[in-house]
Amino acid sequence: MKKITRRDFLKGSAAGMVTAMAGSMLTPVTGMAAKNSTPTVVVAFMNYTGRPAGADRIQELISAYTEENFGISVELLVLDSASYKQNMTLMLTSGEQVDVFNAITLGYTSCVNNDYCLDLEEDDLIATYGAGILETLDETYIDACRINGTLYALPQMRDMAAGMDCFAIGAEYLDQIGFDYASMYTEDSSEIIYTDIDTINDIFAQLHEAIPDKYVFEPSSAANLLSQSILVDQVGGDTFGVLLDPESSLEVADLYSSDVFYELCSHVYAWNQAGYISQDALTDDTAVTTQVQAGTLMAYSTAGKPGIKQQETNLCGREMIIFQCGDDFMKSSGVANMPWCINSGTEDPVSAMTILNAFYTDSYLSNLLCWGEEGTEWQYTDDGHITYADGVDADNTEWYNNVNWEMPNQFIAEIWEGDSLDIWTEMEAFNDESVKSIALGFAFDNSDVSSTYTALTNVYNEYVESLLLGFSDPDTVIPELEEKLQAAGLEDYIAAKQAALDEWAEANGVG
Amino acid sequence: MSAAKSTAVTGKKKRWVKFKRFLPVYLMALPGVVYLFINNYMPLPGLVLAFKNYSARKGIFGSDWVGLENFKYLFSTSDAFIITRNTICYNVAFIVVNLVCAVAVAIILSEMTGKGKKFYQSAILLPYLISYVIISYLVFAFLSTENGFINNTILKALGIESISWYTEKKYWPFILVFVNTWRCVGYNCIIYLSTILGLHRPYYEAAAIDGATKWQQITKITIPMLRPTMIMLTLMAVGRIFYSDFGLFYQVPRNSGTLLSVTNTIDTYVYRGLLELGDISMSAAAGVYQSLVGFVLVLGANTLVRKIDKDSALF
Repeated sequence: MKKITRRDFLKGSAAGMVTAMAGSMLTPVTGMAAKNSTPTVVVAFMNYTGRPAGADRIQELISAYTEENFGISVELLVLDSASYKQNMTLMLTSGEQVDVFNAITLGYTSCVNNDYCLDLEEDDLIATYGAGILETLDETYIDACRINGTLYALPQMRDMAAGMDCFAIGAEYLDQIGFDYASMYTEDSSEIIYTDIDTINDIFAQLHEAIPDKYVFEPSSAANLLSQSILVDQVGGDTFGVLLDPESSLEVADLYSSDVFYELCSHVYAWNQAGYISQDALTDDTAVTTQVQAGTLMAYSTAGKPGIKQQETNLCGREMIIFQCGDDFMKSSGVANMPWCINSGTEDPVSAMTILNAFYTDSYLSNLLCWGEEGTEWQYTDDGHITYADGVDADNTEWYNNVNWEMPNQFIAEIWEGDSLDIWTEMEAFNDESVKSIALGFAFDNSDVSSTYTALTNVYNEYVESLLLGFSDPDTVIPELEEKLQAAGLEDYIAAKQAALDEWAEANGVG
Repeated sequence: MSAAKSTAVTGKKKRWVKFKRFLPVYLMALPGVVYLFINNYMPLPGLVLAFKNYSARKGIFGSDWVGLENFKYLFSTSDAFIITRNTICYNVAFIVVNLVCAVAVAIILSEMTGKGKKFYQSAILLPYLISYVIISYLVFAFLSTENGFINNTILKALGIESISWYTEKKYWPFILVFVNTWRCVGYNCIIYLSTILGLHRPYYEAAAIDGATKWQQITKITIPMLRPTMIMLTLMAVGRIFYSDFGLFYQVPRNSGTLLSVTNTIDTYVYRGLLELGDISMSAAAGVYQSLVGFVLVLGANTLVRKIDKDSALF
């Protein structure tokens, strides 16, 4: 018998995971330790590298400040993006202490469907303890986080729109092929070069010819390419049923049989056939920015916004030039796709809201969250920017998460060298002037069609990634994909989504 | 009365003496029993999750009952056939290949003499101790389209064009069986090897005197004597035919979507469902389904073996 039990344990089967989880749920939840009289608020968010070396120090600095001002200490739970969803799902379902968390990668709607989120207006919680948040955030943005009228989460201060069809290309490679990008900047835009896809095609061809031993292009991820390239609103948070004309029409249509999807796939397929894309792109999960930093890749897809050039340059460790072919676009889920939530199981909602309020309003805390400790991670420059502290750089800094857009309020933190000092004004203008989806603020509760959703997701997993990385011929594979999607119940799913959208539109006076 | 009483007392005493005598054995078993209890018995109440709509806020026992709703998820999709087929077919292949390889390796090891034996035995066991995450990278080092050993060295030397391994479905049934055999053969042969070493030597001596060759000794003595062990281990494997080796099917194909129709098994399907939807109840339902079918299969296989060869049955 020993053999089986041992193997049971070693093979981390899903069933084993569930039983282990059930086991851990039987142990009583300790919550806040009795020996500690000050309540502790656990705040969870993701970055790209996992808990940074300086996390304990930053956590102590934050706690020292919040203990003095509010009598609450703070514990930071920083998880890397790849495992964030999985770890958070396990923690939220098993009752481990997490008081405040960001819903990024978990999906806000699915968090609400699974009952993870506290109603923030219950007992006037936000009005009493989160007044600063209500003052900071625009009311339309707060309302965009309501699901069926209930406010379960709060958006952060960031770019709500995204520049569609953007490419980041290493400046040194453009110099090598003698491409004159410097003259392409205009008076209005000294950061992003607005161009068209033919120019990008041209650049790629020249890059491949001149530097054949490096890969020309890789999408930051297949899902990102789909959401950041074409002006289509993935309404309700998934790609099964989208708004193809998001500015004016509320008609939910099938993305995969549309021309825009076919064109996108054809483009990438042509690039793959031309040898621009690594043949291991499908299985190698190294981040594109890491590949650029390592010098094996020259360009990747991204989403435009004020500050994007500096952000990507920092990520890649070399100067990146940003080209944008599409419009700036604010999707229906643009506001509520990574909001801050309070765990419905928290023992102390008041402390959680107090801390969240402080993160939105206190620039000392925001600086700690965004940039780390003054003097250790960063220092002021003469012109009011900040930069790395002496002897610190991108490689050895102990707190540099590159997720300032995820933090509650980056607008009150200092501005990094290289960005405009007016960046937050530019950001507001960027948000205001973008093309906005007519369904802004709509969220789709798919729990009634969740098994259809699972079936559709399985089809998606089987086909879409290889199409978007250019490994499948769109002429033969898209019809196959379409057939499977129909068999999995795409029509029903779209109909359910359309009904929910129509209901929402009527209730909100849209359309 | 007193006589009966004294018998009872001596009976108790005898039991106590017996207990004391076996105490070290009990102590040795204790960690295993505790482990079994924590991992296999304590989670049993969690089975109710399969019949509930789990809400983190209400807890396991406070959540609403939904009857068999969660089981619909498993059977309502068109994937149910594919994942069941993959799970069972791969496991049947593993049972057959593992049995043949493990017995063969065990016999070879048992015939070996000298210093090399220990080394071979350890070397062959080593893959079993490697995590599947690492194995997936080892396999990737061989199969990577750009830099892989097979494409870059072997196929190049033979003048064959490189193959995009992670997008070609047809190779994967062989790759997975190969990887599984490579990893498990060392572990699987341990029990056969120990059985062979425990066999009565005079059989072989008598056979040798009668002029039997090595090959005849193996086919006429070793393999028939191994039969009960083979039946027992195969029986145990049949009981697990509804379970797939999660690491093998999830890590080794590196989550390549194109391969899903040949690499998706019940376990990976449920795991993906859990990740996409975060729905513990549905995953628990699949766990219950797997356990029940597995339980029936063990009982059924055992009954069958009892009919054929009573001594070889497990219970």
